[in-house]
Amino acid sequence: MIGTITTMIITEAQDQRRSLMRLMAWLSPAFPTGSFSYSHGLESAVDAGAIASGDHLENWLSDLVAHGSGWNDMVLVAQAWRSCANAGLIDELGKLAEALAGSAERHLETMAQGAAFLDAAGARASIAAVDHGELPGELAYPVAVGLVAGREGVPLADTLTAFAHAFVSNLIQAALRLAPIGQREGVRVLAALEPLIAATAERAAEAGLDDLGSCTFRSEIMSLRHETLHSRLFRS
Amino acid sequence: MLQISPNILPVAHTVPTLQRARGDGRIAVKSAGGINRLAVLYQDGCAKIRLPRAAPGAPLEAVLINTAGGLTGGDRMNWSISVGQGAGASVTTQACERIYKTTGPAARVETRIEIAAEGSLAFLPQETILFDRSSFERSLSADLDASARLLVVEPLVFGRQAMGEDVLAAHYRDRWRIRVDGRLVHGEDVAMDGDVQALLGHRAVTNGARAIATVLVIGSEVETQLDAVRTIIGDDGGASAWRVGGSGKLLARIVAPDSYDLRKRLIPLIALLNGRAGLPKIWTT
Repeated sequence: MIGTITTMIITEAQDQRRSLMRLMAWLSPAFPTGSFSYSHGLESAVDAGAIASGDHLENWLSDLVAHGSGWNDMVLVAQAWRSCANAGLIDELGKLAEALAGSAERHLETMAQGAAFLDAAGARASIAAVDHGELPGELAYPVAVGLVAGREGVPLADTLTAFAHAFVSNLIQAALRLAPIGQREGVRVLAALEPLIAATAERAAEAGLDDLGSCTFRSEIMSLRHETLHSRLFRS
Repeated sequence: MLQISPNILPVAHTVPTLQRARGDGRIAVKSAGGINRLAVLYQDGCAKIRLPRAAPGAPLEAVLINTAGGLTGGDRMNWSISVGQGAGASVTTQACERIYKTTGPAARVETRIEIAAEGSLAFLPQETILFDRSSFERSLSADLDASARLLVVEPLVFGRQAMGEDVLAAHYRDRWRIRVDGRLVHGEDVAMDGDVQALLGHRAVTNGARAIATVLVIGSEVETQLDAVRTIIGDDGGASAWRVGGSGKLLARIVAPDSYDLRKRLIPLIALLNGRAGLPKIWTT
């Protein structure tokens, strides 16, 4: 009896470590989705003078996570995670995520990263083998992440925390290249956003599609304006 | 010994059931020999529809009227606009829609649009004004044929400007779902709760601007108008055009300090994007 319990605990610990490693791999900047090439409109925000310091960056990113595109993406990750066994629902969610993209470049950002994520995670072959079917050729990024995490049994709250953390980290890295913000300040911003990321991940884990909703209008405008910037480092 | 006085205990309030405004308005437009004619006109409750005379061959003009003169908690309006094959219509509202303070449930407005093959609709409501302590939920759903065209211009203003009102508490939801041949091509989900004035002050929200507008065009050759749209909007917003599921879409967003400045952008935009029908007269009278 005690032997059985010990074995279960060891297995559970191993599962947790496996899940942690998968999230670290999938959401690492080294995972070949090209995340480093997208600024999500941050480049035009810096150009317009809307982000000129670490404090500005912290305000901007906290709004994206709490009531912006970051929040909507987290709701979509959660819904895809729950729907991971239903190809029809995943297809519908993918189309919803695609329809919500707010500019030509945001559309590229989510669709290209979603396709690259499915390829790099080796998800297409394994899903086809189980379901005898094919995924839609393109799947928006948050839906792809939620789908794969759900199918691999990675816990939802962990997935959402890692997703939001990667979203914020990636944009901080972009800001460091664009604005007069130093590495140390970037680390400070990331640390300052930790409690918000954790709380928002918990909220998103309980949220459904009716909870989609954002109000970061100026961030959306910056993304619309990016394609007409004179010189660009980023694809969005 | 601590004594609890009975008058600080919660009091059970009985909320009286007030008469709430209900409105249901439906209009259908058809093309008969190249002339746009009314096919259906249905008005119930506080929903009325007026039809100003349009030039022969021009899109049919319709003006939606809420005779209750504003919306408060529990009020409900349903609008339905249907454009038949090859027909054209331009629909606006008679006045700004005021969303009053409420302690009850949200006021709700639902708009449903259908456009058949080669049909065209411009949906151009005047500003919605959210008052302090208002609660408002709105939805727009549209089903288009792949050869149809839809233009939507939706302006929103926070607080009564004449009174310098700040929206210190509100609940606002706006959901759009636009489908072409059954496929979702555009979605909007706006959510604001609580101290809207504080939220507007955030640099990623509007940086203090109190008026916003969303402009959407779904159609086959939308990208040809993108440069002209950008020229009109200038630094007050942005515009982009791309394709989703084979359908062209042009999306523009504008923020402005107030509704006066917003109109300075919207009036030339509507004139540009609404073809022969141009700007509804009621926008400037």
